[in-house]
Amino acid sequence: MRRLFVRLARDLMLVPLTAVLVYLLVMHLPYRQDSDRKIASSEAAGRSKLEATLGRGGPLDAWVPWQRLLSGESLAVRGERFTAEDFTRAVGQSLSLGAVALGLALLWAFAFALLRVGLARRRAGRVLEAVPGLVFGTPLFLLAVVAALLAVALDVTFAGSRGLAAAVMAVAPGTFIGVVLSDALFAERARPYFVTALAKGLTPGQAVWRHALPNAVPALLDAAGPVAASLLAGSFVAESFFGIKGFGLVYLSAARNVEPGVVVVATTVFASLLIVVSLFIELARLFVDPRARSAALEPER
Amino acid sequence: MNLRAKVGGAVLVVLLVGSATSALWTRVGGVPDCVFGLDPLFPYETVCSQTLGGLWRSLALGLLGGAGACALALVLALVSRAGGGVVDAFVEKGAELFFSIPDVLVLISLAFVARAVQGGESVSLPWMAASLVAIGWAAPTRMVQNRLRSLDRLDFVTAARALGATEWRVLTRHLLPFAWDYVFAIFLLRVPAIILTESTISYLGFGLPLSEPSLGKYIGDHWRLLTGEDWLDVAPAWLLLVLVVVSFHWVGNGLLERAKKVSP
Amino acid sequence: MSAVLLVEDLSVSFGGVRVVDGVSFQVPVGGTVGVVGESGSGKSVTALAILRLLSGAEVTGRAYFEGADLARLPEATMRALRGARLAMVFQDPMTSLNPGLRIGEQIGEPLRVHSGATKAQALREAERLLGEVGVPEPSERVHAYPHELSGGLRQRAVIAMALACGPNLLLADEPTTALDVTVQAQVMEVLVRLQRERQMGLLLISHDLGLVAERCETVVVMYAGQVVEQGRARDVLRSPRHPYTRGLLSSLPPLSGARARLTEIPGVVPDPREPLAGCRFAARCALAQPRCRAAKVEWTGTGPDSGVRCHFPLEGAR
Repeated sequence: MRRLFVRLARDLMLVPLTAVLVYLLVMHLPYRQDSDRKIASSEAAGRSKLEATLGRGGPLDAWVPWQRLLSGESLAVRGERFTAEDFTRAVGQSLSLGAVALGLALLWAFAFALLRVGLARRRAGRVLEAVPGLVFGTPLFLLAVVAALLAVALDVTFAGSRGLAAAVMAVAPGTFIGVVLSDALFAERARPYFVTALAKGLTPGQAVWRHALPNAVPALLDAAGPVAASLLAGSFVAESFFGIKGFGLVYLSAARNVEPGVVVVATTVFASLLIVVSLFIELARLFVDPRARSAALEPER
Repeated sequence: MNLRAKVGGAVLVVLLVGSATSALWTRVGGVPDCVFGLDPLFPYETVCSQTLGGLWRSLALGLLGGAGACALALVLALVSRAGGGVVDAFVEKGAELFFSIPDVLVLISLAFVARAVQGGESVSLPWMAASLVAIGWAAPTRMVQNRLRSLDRLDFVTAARALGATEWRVLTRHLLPFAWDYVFAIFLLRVPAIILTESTISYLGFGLPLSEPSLGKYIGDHWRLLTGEDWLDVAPAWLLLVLVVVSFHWVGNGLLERAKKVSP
Repeated sequence: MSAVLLVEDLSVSFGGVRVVDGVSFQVPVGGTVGVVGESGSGKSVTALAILRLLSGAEVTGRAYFEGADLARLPEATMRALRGARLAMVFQDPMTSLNPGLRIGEQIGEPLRVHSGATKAQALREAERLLGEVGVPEPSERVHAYPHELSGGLRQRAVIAMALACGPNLLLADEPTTALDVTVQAQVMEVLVRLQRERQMGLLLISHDLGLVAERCETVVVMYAGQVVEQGRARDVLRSPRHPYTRGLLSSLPPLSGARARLTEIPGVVPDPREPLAGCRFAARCALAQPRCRAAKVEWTGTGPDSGVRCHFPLEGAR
């Protein structure tokens, strides 16, 4: 048990470490001296604006942008104001969008997986096999374009449409999970214990539900990491395309307009989110796989 | 190799040769001659030259990025195998960490750095290729490491060690020959992924310049035309993108299957 | 019918390739029949074909279980029989048990499926069954996962699972092959004891002729998909009539006597895809004659449950 806690603590330590590293990197970039770039309009003046907003750039100053944020001041070095309120609003938009997208992705994944397993030997199944190739072979924004075209054809407004955005975001992760799940189900169906279940008198459906599916879940969890990443990335495109002012859009404009403060905060938040998600998945895995659980809870030899 | 792989290979050869010689056949006798006319967003070039130029730029980025990433992956995997224990674990953890960060995020960060340091609204082709290598090395490294590890467990390798072969000899004489095919197949499969990621990043505004776009950048800027009467200005680019991606997939998968058959 | 299982002319083909050819035998009520053969002889496929658990196979012939032809039953009826009236024990308990479920749940599952037992009832019965198969501390072990048990205990759990609903016929496919030698005997003891107590028919499939001859009343010897010899265990052991059976017996290393080279049967099992005109064993038989390679061999019955498939069956004790 103690070993588990130690590992968790060690992983969580990455969060403040990332915050400091990102801060140091961003503060020490050789910013371009350009007349229309406000950071360095003249060396001394520009540099001091940067330092006034975000601290002097030493490792102990990493908390300065966060302090500014918490006290309600703007993080912007050049242009528009960016306060904690803007931040939380953007995060809220993204989280709600992401949650809907995740839900849709899981629904689509299960439907796809069950269809694929059910239709495996029939002709319709062959058509289904082409779907993943099509999905992964299309860049996300093209999917968005297709969705937009459909919306126009069906006379539905697509600008600001959260539903469409979530649907577009859900396609690739959903297909990915669906493929992983159905592959895992196929693999479990080929295992001897599946034959044992049939020999006990279960219907194939019962055997899949009671035996194959629970054993396929760990494979799903392994796929969850790339899926989470894909959803985060998809939010960039979806928010940009459908004009939703979420966190992704904040990051995009910060990168475009070269706003160091916002970039520091945004990158740290993203990285921390990834760390927390992967921790969560590790814990979930222990919950689901009895062998991993025994291994993790073993006392140190 | 199966039929799909052969078809894919043929298409790729045609595309590669066609894009390389495109300069020749979009200008006949010095006069630009294109069915679709001039590029609406950049009227100094024709749709044809932008599309074909986009094709070769996308291919160049994909091949350079893929080759760079896979070469780096191979080196890292070999080093970690030769170094053993700690080095192996370190490389593996590093690749895993990197793998979990979304590509788009890394590319945007790199674009931010480029803008902060260089200024300008777009990145150059070499910088884009380098960024693509930076995001592309993690997955192949993990795959090659796993491959080397599973090859390592085969009996003939253990036999070689029992006969007194040095680690270096085992690596070069026994493991590497089985790894080449695999690495090449992975490289071919990486290329479409890189081209697609690049097109996404271009769409988001961090790609190549408007005057010399990649296929992705071109589509990303012109997609609105699809709803109007100028839709033919975008369609060829989209078609080419799909062809490139599907062909690389087919050839890559065909080679991967063959590489896997040679040893388990 | 005095036979709990009567197999008549059972043949199994996969995509035109015949792997089981005209197999016939019967298992009397409460009797023990052993099916012996090397890998590729078709013995496991025969068992799976009886239970109709083969996918993608063409099965012809008849398999009467308590008088009803299993091949003709609707799938729902077949399902009601599987695990309830006829059950199967598989070779490797590590892979034939679900690694993610506790063994109590798995043992009790047939009861829940067939008798409508509740989870609690099934668990209690599972505990009782574990005790019956000789697992120590059954009340604790019933909550264990398969990987927490040793090989022998696992296989006992598998046996308990097969016996949960009190079947009249048990098909055991190499039940001890995956176990350590020291444990094999123990598990066989459990199997045979339970068979006797419950007067259950037992079809024991193995590559080990010694094991089968020791525990079974009747022995069926299979080679390349066909039954080549059948008879009472004592008779087959003492005076085998088919050269293959004699070869199998000779290849068992003797525990006493002078040191000598181990005799082996040269050659390999023929590829089922290659059509053979005559006897399938001819290529490896030391006593083969021209007729053996040319003419198809018919079954020569020497009694109700015995016979041999050979042009020149051996006479006398070995």
